[in-house]
Amino acid sequence: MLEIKKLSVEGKNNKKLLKKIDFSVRPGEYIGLTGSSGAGKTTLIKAIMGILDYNCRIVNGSIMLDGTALTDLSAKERRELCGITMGFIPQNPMTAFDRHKKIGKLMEETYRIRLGIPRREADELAAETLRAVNLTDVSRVKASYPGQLSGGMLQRVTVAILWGLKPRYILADEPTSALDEKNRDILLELLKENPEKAGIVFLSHDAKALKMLCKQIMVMENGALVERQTVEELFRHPVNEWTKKFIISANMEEGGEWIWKELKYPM
Amino acid sequence: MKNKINIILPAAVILFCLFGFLLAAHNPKETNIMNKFMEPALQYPFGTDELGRCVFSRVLWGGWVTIGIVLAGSAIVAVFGSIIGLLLGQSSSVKNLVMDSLLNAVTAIPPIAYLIIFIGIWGNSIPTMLVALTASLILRMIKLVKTLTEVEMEKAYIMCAVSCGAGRARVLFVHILPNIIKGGIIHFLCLSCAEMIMAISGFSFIGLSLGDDVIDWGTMLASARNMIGMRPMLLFYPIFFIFLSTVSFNLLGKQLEKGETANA
Repeated sequence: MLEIKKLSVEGKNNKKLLKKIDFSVRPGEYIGLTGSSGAGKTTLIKAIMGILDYNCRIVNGSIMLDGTALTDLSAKERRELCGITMGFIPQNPMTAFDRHKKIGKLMEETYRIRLGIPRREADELAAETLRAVNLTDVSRVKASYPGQLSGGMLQRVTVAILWGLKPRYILADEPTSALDEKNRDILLELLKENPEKAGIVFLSHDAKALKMLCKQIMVMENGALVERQTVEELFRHPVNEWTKKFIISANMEEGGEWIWKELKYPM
Repeated sequence: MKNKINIILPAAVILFCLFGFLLAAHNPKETNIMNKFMEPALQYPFGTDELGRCVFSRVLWGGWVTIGIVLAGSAIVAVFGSIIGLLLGQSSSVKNLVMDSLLNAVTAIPPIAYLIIFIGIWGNSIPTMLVALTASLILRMIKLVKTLTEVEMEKAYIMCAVSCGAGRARVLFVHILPNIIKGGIIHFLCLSCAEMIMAISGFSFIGLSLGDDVIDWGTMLASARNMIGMRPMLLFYPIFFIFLSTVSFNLLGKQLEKGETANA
């Protein structure tokens, strides 16, 4: 179980980025995380992964993984967990790749080093995972530099890389932001399938994706968790102002009228 | 394809300047006073100088010395500059403040100061020149690599590599190094090679030479200067070779960088 206890993070000039965040993820559990831009969602995920920017630091609280405090581990021990135990799907796929490395080589090296499998197997695993995220033209994708693929394709590659590493916890930072409907659904199906029973923290602004995937949804504002409910509750009785707006606009998109009347939110 | 030629051509010119001495028909130091100031002919393609020495052979041997020093120096600068710069670039910010000030202070010393000090200590020689040039360039290189590394460390792909479990060595040498080699180091090295040619020739022209009986373009210029009225062409050949090799290095740097941006 991944437990975050009273986690506070400070940035430059002691600016409070996260204020006493408390939540936990069990294997096989899906937790949605949403909130306005700049609320600290990405910072939270980075803090859990241990990849905070150099001018940010954890001032209080702890991150527990199956009873071990991650904050007490050495950098090397922490790094061993990255990828294998905790996986991260980055927000912007265009900047997430080394632009001088071909996708195929990158994936093969990642699997070979991280999983300790021979080159051939790593190569096959790469092809397999690429097919799983609907990148069917495997040989072309593998022979491409990141600059030659579209944002949506790269986003799927980021998911594919993680899928091969089979982490026990996945921290996904808006993995569907650059995808079209069809590929978003493929990706969500993939996350829903979840054969390894990974615990997933799913960060998104996409109400449909959140509904589809998560049972619990947390809302963040100004670095604090302001709301935490089941999907049904949240969509029926939102408390927070931002959440109300979010749900109204999501329902407008789907053409749902009922919740609009019920909420009577002045627009 | 056109791009390839743009790279191969200057590289070939540089290689010719380096290994051209193998084609030299005469001993560059052999004097033959009877044949002095001969016009260019088949036997002496560039004619002979005031002591009857073959100018063509001398120019080619001068290339071996000059380009040899330049390439050896830039190899040392490239290897040690990159490693030290990378290690400094990824370390914490407090140490950086100290190192920054130190680097800034030391890079403020011009190369000629090193050269004069080292010649004072060890006397004129090729190793002295090599050490002086390397010492002044390596600090600039460290500074460049350090800055580039710092910029690169901030980028999202490094964060992603770390989140997949990449270690410090892998981040530095597999991800950052190839990126900054293509994104600045190569260009800097080529430009500093051109600069080194000018420095070596310039210094030996003004008398801070490589040694008493070492042939190089600068000393050839210095002795040809006395006969500028009589034999102006003697001045032309070394100048032409200095020009050729300098331009080649500049073009090579530019083309390698250009090919890089086209690729990414």
